[in-house]
Amino acid sequence: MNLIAMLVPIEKASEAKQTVFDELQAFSSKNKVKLADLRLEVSNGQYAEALNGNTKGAGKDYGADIGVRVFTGKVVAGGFAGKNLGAKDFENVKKITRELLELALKRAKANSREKEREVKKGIKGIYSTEFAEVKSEKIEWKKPYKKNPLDTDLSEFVKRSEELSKEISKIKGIATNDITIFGSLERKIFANSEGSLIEQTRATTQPAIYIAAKGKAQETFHEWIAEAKGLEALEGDNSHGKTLEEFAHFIANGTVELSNAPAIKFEKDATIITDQWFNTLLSHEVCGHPLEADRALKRETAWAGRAWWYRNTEDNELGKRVGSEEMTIVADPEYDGNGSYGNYAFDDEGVRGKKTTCIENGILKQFMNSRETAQIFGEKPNGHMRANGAASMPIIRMSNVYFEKGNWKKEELFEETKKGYYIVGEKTPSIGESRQNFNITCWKCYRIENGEIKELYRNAGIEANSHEFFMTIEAANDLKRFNVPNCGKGTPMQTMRLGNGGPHLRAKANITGKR
Amino acid sequence: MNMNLKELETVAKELLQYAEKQKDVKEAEAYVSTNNLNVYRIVYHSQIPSNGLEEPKSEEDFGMSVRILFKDGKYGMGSSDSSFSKEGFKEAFEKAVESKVMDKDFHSLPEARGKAKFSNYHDKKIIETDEEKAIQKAYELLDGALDSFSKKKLNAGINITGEMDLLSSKMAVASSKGIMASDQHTNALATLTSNIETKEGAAGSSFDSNTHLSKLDCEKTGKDSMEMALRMQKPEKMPSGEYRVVLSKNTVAELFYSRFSLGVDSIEFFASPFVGRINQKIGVPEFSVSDLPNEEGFIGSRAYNDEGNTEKNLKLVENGELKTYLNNDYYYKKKKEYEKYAPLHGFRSGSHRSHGREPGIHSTNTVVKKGNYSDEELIKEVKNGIYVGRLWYTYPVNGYSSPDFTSTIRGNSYIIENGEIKCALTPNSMRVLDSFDNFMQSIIGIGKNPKPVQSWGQEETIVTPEIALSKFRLQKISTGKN
Repeated sequence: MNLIAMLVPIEKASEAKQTVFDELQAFSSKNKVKLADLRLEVSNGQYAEALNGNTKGAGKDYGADIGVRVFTGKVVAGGFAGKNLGAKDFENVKKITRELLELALKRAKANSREKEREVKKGIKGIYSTEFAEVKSEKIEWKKPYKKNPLDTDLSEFVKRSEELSKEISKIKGIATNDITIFGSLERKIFANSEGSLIEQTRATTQPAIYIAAKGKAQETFHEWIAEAKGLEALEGDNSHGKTLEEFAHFIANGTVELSNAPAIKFEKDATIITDQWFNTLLSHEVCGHPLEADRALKRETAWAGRAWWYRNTEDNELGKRVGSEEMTIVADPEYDGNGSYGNYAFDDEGVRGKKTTCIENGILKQFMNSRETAQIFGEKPNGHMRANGAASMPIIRMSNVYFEKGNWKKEELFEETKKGYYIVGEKTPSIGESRQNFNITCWKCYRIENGEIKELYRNAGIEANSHEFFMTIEAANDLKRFNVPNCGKGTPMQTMRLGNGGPHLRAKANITGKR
Repeated sequence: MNMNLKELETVAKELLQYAEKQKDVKEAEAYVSTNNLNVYRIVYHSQIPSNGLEEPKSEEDFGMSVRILFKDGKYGMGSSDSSFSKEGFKEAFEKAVESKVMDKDFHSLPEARGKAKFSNYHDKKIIETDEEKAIQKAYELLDGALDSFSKKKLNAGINITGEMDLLSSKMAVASSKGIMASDQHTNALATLTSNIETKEGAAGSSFDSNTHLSKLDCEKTGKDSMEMALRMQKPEKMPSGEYRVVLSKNTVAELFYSRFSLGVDSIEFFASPFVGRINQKIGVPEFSVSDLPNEEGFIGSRAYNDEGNTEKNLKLVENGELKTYLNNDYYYKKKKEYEKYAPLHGFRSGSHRSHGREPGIHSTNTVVKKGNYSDEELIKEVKNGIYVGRLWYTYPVNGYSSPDFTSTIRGNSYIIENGEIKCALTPNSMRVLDSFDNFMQSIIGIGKNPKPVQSWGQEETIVTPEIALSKFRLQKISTGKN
């Protein structure tokens, strides 16, 4: 094992956990805070990148950071502080913890004073922060993996990415290709003033492929194999069911084929069948995001937007029909198979992640929440408060959010489609601010005629008003989930890993394309 | 970590000396950086429990890195976080050894290309942020908006969200190619979105930025945001079609973020609509864009890039003709054809200094040349059409090499009739389906009041006036449950 890159192995997090826990308890009882919590995280990873058959870079490194939240005051308000940690910092972790807690406390007190001033002015709506109660936990959790991403020498990553990129370069029609292989292990500690001390460990393997192809037109495509697993994910144990090499060829050949296909024309109210891979982006953007409680409560209006089905506490769609009988959406941190980046035992508030049915047979039931938003809704917390690193503030994020399977066989959906389009693979999304309308482009689009798949088209996608679209959904029984490595939310922007997907769906939408 | 530039320069020099002494080193570059970001996030709703100031928080990082060209032709980079110690030197260097690869396109580290004249453009008050005063200033955003609303005595719920950010960022770089440079910048940024919760919805947004905290007017930003929302009462919807439009500064910036990719790296990846268009006419003669790094008060300003070279003005588009791409030292030396593009933009990030990243290609202040039109004259020029105040989720369609994009119109938007604002356009009721080429080629008027804009989630600064177009394709969409 490489000594320098492993200067801060993930075990350092475990070694520090009792110290930070004790410091947090001492601080909390001394200052009589309402709630204080702390996260400390260490990751170890390595990567290699090759462009057009030439190695561009490689590296093996650790990352470590720490963050604390403190809530206090007569009118309870919060303060947060976070920082990156270097190797030497682990010798002073007690002092660093105390300094960060003091800084967060100072902010929380100043915030509370200003908040109290606003309340005294009679400003409606501003309240003393409250949290739903949760049981304190002391537990260690590890997501199983077979092949440690750090056990393979970095030179193997370099060799494999370079050889694969060389192979892809030989395919006729490829203008540029870039292959990156990445693998990591991460360990996260959570502690709070209520006595919780939680340690969670998981692996990530995430190779990415970028292709630019030149046929009759220029086509670009970027996709990844992404699993919360060890390097077994490179050998076919992933949602795509392909080895890295098979997947890269699949993407490269498909993109070249697409670059020679005709561009599609706009068609209104078409029957479409979307595959599970496309439904990853669909479920993410149009279902998952508006099911985050902070959007519903309009705490994200300036940034990530709101949710069309929750206008205010009196006027909303909770308990009402928002989709067809065949539309069920779950948020499931407990799901641990392929496509489970959103699998964890506890979120970053120390709340156990629970499978939550957000939309059941078309009826809007519940949002993904935090302790604070659960209290506002009068619900139990379901464990969706997460940060992309300990130095960042936790916010409400998806876990594994997907369309639940229906009763149709995929073949039946096709057989009963006389005229329509088959939408394959995800590309780019553009969504209305309250997620009330969407335009999502796909990798490939095929015409369907009398149940059979016909010609391939490029430049396709679907657009629809979300509610109208949801009401037309018919769902097959072939649920499959994929991972999303790059969901953005927060200030500064936090890039989160999570899972999405669904079975094949049939619905009505406009086909985007030349008008 | 509050070290001054002299101290950072000393660390960089010592790290360079350490690296140069190591075995098999041909060229070395030492880079050190510190960043302090304070974010104060305003979240308020009059009818739903809210916290006012949701997140007073800070994120801090500092550290150093080395980039090494070894005698065998291999190249490596290594870093050490949260450390300026001798142990850190060893850690960074050994990581560079362990990660070295034979990148056939890496020829040498950057050469020194002059000294900067631009300096002292930072603000000590941001570097030494007073927490209590900063929290009070952030609350001025909310108070400004609430004051404006209370004067109108409207019986409606209001939702106010936004933030004040204070960034202090420093770097020093030294190399065996004769480079010794240091730079520091500070940014203060305030943005607020006010929503009045009537059935049709009314939304207004405002933005302010400066390199100095005293010049950031949070109260006015708050007031402006709510006053814009108040002007959005009784909005109307419009049918799908092609419209004459005025684009606000925010809207122009959003289009630039989505499709104005001029980095040589984007060109090489065919991820830009500007591949192969140098010296070609891409827009109307009035359309000119420059990269201006040394503008007082603009938050994208820098004296030096992260490769240690001084920043110079660069004409990107002149009189509608594409003149150059943005470049860094790596691409400059990679291919003969890239030598035409000056290596001025080797930054590790568009917003801050980052010891942990390799230099990429980022702009400084992307400045659209101002025209002669006042804001009112632009409305008159359009005569009948739409004022597009804010776009949302602007993404390319038809691949990254296509200029085509789609987006939705959010708030701050109005219907123009007979050269005057007739009424507000219903928020979230129209989708844009157009292309950046059309934007550049349909310009009929450019405003004379440019302002720097930095949108959520973006690193770069766009400085632009309002711009009028002869056509912009819009499609009517649902605003919720139909």
